[in-house]
Amino acid sequence: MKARIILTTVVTLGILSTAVFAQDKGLEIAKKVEAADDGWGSSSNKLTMTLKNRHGQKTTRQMHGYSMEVDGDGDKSMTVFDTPADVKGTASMTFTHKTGNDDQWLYLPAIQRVKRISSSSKSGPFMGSEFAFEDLSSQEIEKYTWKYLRDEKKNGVDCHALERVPLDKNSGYKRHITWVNKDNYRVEVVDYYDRKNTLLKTLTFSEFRLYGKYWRADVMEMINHQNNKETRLQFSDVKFGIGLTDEDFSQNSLKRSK
Amino acid sequence: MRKLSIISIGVGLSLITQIGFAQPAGQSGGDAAEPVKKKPWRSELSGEIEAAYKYFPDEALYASQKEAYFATTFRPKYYLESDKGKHAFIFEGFATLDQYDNKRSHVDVRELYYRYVFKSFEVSLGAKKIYWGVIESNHLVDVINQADVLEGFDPENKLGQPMLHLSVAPKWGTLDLMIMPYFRELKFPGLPSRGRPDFLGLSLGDARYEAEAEEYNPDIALRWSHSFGVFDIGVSNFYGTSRLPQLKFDPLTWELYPYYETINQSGLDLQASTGPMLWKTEMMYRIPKDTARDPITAFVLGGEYTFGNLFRSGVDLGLLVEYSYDDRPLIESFNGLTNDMFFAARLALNDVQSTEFLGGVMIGMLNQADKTSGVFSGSKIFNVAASRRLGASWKLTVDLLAYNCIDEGEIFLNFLRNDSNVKIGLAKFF
Repeated sequence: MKARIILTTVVTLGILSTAVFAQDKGLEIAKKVEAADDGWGSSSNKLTMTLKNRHGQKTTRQMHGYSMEVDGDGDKSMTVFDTPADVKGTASMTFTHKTGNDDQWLYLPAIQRVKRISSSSKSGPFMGSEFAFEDLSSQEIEKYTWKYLRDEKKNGVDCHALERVPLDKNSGYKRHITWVNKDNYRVEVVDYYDRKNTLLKTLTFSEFRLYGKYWRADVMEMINHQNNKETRLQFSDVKFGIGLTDEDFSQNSLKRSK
Repeated sequence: MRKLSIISIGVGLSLITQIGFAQPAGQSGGDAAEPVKKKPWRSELSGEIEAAYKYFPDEALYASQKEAYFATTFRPKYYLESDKGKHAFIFEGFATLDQYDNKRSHVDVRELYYRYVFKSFEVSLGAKKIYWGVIESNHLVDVINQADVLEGFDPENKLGQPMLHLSVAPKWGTLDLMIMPYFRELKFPGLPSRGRPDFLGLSLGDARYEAEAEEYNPDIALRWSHSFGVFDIGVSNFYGTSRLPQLKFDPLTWELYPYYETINQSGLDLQASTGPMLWKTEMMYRIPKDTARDPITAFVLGGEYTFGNLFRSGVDLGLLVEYSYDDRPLIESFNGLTNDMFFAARLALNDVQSTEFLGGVMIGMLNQADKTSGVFSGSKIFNVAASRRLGASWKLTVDLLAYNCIDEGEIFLNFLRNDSNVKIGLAKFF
């Protein structure tokens, strides 16, 4: 009897500590990913978004923008749309926060109006693409709970596989699995699982470039396994160290954006 | 000897220049400064051309009003901007050609100004369009620009306003100062295009002003605005010629004329953005310079709730409710929104072709004729709009405007009661 109690306790403790260990290691790796990307300051880029429907037909959208790291909080970013022609000059300014809703303003150039919009529909599609708003906003560790799964090769690269569960109830996903490069802690692939825990989409980063000590992927490809649509983001003209300040993320700079 | 020293100075200078400008391109990461390079100015010409067809199903009230007509509108835009945006020249033009109505066909310069930016300080000189406010159905605080009513009753169509505009943005908000040296009159369309009272057959005379300098009276506006936490706030003050005229009758010339009084108008606009819910208000307090006239208080309270990604379909549904109050008697208020409720819904499909639907109704809470009041007692104005991108650079819009149950007590709306219409527009963007 006593042996049984001891055995049960030991086994339970063993399982619990494995779980805690998995969570701790998951968070530890997530922090290493964040640290590898810390201190990039500010950057600007151009972006071509190509949407492909199930018949293989393509549509493109062009935009450009810049972003800035904020100490102790999420990034600030400005995006200006270039094509299609009817939305040219429309701009969006977002202040991401580690906890709570993001702040987002939209500039409508036809009437020179700055409008602060509600930011809770993060699960909705960005410009009709396969990227949801939450897929594109700055990825803060505090928005998820983390769990280390295993080490494995993904697309020929040695990776740590991590599971992360979004804390936001409004998220469109039940969980993600991210594959993190063992060498340099950059994210290589993310699998997105919908609320029914079925594999919904896969995001693959490729054409990596080193800017100083920061890795950036020139290409991000999102494939939706359920509707057979794809969206490809192609970054170009990426610049770092452009010396942005809070003044570049103000109502006036939003109105001036071109 | 002299030649040698000149050469050596030249070589020395060029060497110093090379060393001074050569910097590692971001090798250490972070915010290391980029080498200084002179970059060319950027410029772009863009705009849209729209062809529209408007049809009026009800019989016209006045003889020269048409049943249907075509119109075409051209909106070119051009800007020239220096490398970091320090200097900029901005132009936005406008031209409408109406099939029958000569008074409605018009050309305007919406914007033509030079802008200088230095850190958080900005100055603009020229004609400009300024937008203030957060409410959708009744723009109380948006006083700077004259409305272009030749394009309809939506005050978002604006005439360019010449001004000197100074703007500074310290940590505690943004301060805007506008000095406007020239006033733009409200121009009424002719009768053929409808949407206009016939003024009882009287002709419309020249505008008269309370200000001695008339249209050259310098008007001045000041505004403080700030975003903090969930709030966006703006507090403004305008002193000068009111953009909205009163219509007065001159028995000597037997004509109606627009009279522009001098006013001091204070405004407040405030929005609280809490997740899917936006709480909005605009308030206005206007003191006419003529002390014989009463001050005017008006406010709008509103809310907008967005169901984002409805049932995970990607569709966004927004619901709006706004209440407008104005303490003036109905006959004196220009837009007749003295006690009115506005309900609207906005549906965005978020598809590749950006299909959108918008439906709204403005309801007078008080029936002016029989004085019964209630949420659905008075006149109703319905508006339904749909838009969709065609191909890569075309856009199709359909707009329905319906005047419903206009009670006889509504002074202004009575003239418009048969002017319900549907407008189909096809625009090409470049």
